[in-house]
Amino acid sequence: MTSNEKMQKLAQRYHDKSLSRAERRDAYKALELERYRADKRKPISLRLYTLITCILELFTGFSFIAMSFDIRYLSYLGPFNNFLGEHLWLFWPLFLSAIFIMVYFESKYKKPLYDELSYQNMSKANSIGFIVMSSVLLISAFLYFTLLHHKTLVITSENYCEIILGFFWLVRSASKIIFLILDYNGSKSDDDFVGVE
Amino acid sequence: MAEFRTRLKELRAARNMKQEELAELVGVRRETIIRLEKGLYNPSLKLAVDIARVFGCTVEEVFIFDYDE
Repeated sequence: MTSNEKMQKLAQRYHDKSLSRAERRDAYKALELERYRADKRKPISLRLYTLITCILELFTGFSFIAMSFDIRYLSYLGPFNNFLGEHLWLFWPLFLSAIFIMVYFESKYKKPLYDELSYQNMSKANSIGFIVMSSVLLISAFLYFTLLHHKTLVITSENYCEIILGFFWLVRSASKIIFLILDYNGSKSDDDFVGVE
Repeated sequence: MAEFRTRLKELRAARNMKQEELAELVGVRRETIIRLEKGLYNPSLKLAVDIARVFGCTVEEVFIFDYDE
């Protein structure tokens, strides 16, 4: 059976509504693996791919957070806010270049496959990342109202959206950093005759 | 409490097979095979069966659980 026939068969199985959800999910995983094998592009390791996406997402997250500091109605950050306000246009070309870098990598290399261990680590990392970033957000809000002695925070809906978007990308980025740590632990080979990178 | 260990390394060495080759055959990453060999990861039933099929043995012959009775 050729690879194409195999993929067609798996796609049919995946779309077959009479099968159970678990069976269809298995068929989809097999289809993904078959597609990955058939893809002629150069492979890229999952760790490198995760690292690149992590850096780009971190940058995107910080860009959005920085944009949210551009509060024209209330400058709660003082001189720092003025500085960012003047240099905010710099984030747009950098943000666009981050998208271009991502598109370049997506087109040049085939997307690495997540196996069962990676899925497990990724779901664990996602939950830890969300908890960590939520704590950071809560602590910064707490510090704002206690250490800086502010009683209110006036914010525009535009800046609010930017904070939410920035938070989303930072959570994703933090999850990827945690995934890299989880993936690194215990994955160093002490094998002498095989598996040398 | 059951202690989990595998004969993966031994079986692989007998066939002169690299971790990368085994990973490719069963559709996982090399890191997963390394963890399996070290006994740090319990594979799914499907992966266990796939690995056993590559070596032509049963799952029990590759993955061993030692129970303290």
